[in-house]
Amino acid sequence: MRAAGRLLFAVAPLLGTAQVQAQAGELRGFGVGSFEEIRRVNAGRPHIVAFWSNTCPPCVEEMPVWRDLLRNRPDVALSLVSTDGPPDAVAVRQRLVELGLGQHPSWIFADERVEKLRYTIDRGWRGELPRTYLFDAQGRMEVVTGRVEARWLEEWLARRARR
Amino acid sequence: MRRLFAFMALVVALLAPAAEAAHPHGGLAASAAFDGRGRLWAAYRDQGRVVVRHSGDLGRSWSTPRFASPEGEVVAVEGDARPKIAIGPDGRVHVTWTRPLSRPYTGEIRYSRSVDEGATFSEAVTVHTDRQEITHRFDALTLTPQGRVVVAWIDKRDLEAARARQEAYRGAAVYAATWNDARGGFDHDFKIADYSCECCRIALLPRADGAITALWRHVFEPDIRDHAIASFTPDGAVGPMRRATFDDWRIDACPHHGPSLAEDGAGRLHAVWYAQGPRDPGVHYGRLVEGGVEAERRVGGEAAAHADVAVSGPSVFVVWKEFDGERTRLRAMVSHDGGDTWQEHELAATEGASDQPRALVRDGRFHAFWNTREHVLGVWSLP
Repeated sequence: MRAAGRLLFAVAPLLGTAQVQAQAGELRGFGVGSFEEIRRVNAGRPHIVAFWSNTCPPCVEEMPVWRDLLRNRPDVALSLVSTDGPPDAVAVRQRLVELGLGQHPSWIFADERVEKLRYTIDRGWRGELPRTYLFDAQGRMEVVTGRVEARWLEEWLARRARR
Repeated sequence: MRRLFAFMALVVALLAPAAEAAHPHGGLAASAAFDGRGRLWAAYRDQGRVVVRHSGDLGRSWSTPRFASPEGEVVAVEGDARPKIAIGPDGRVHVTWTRPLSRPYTGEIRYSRSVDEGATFSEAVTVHTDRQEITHRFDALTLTPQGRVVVAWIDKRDLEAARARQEAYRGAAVYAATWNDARGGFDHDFKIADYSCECCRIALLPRADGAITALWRHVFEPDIRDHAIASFTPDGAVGPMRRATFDDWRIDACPHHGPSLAEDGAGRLHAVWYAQGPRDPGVHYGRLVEGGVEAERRVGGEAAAHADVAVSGPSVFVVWKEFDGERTRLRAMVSHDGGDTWQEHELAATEGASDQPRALVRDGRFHAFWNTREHVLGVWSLP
């Protein structure tokens, strides 16, 4: 019974796929058009799309960097996308809460054709995690495979997203 | 229309985890192996449990699914993690899987077998003697020609111990254990190597002399995720580890993309692996020799992924999948001169979701096993 309740808790946010942006604390299904949508919604301002998985230790170790970014740089948009599937939604949500990111809108892969999803993001990406796409206000992109270090991010912000 | 369907599938999957077979994500991960009579066996997760089926006609029809894991026991299926199956010369069917525990990344390697051709399975046992709630995951299963059952896995007991001493430790370790028929259980675990990568499948190759050769993604200093190789006996005598691939892929990331290994009639080792090193990023084939790689070449194009290799005499067979923007193609290449020259083939394609393919050999003929949404537990034979 308890499990069912928790499951519904996870479902409700995913039902709201018509919304343009996920609301605080929600997990939104990431589909074939989602990367484009994130880019469109955030066009003209610095934004970062960070792909991670609940089963990837370097991804979880990276999370404090994003928590600090949210705290210190509200002008930079951050989209966290879990590549775990819908069956893992409860665990992903729980992990985000534990990492202090529970209040931030977040995404989860919601199409079993993961190769197609990755193709819509980056043809050269075969699933290594973490994988991060950083855009400045002019739309210039940088891609990072592997853990984003705090110092590297600070340099990127200084170079590409100076306040 | 497809978007609507995908959305409905998502909602259904979330509302009914028991109907997981219908769901996607991870639901396709399967393993397959031939038995001595030429029947193909498959293991995968359905309704949350490990199920086993066999086919006497190369996948055209399959036996009724039988559960190999206990009801209510969670079975890990993600990335390179999936149930494993191997059939002994005596016809016994051996199955392993990973049971996640409550803390993140933790798990136990579980084992069950059938002595009645897959009709019933024994009570599951935990393979390792170490029972801490830590990482024991990414099980690999093999049988020696003498019929000994050997299981290897990714293990973090040394990482945890180093942490407790506030010392640094790269990645995880590879451990193994061997079934002891006289005792009716697994003998004590032994370590193959420190500093493995954390979530790539381990390739195990049984050798004629009863030893086993393991190939895995390693973390060489400081953060080079190339492969390492070592041989060991089922009794736990572990030979020296050496570097097997030299792509110099320096990265602190999870590739989720493990290697595969096979041996030809002349005792040469044929491997396929994935690396994003500076020289030639992608999937690679090569013969592993002391201190280097022979006849190395790229497998497929930029989008090639999850290759597997099988060998018969001097012939080498590599299968992989490759997404072209619309469809995922099942591609293959075969060499009849031990890997020096190759012919490529396209075996199948699908618009839907698909698992990693497996390269299999039976009576000198090569077959690709590929579980896709469109073609469940499919088998394609090399022309």
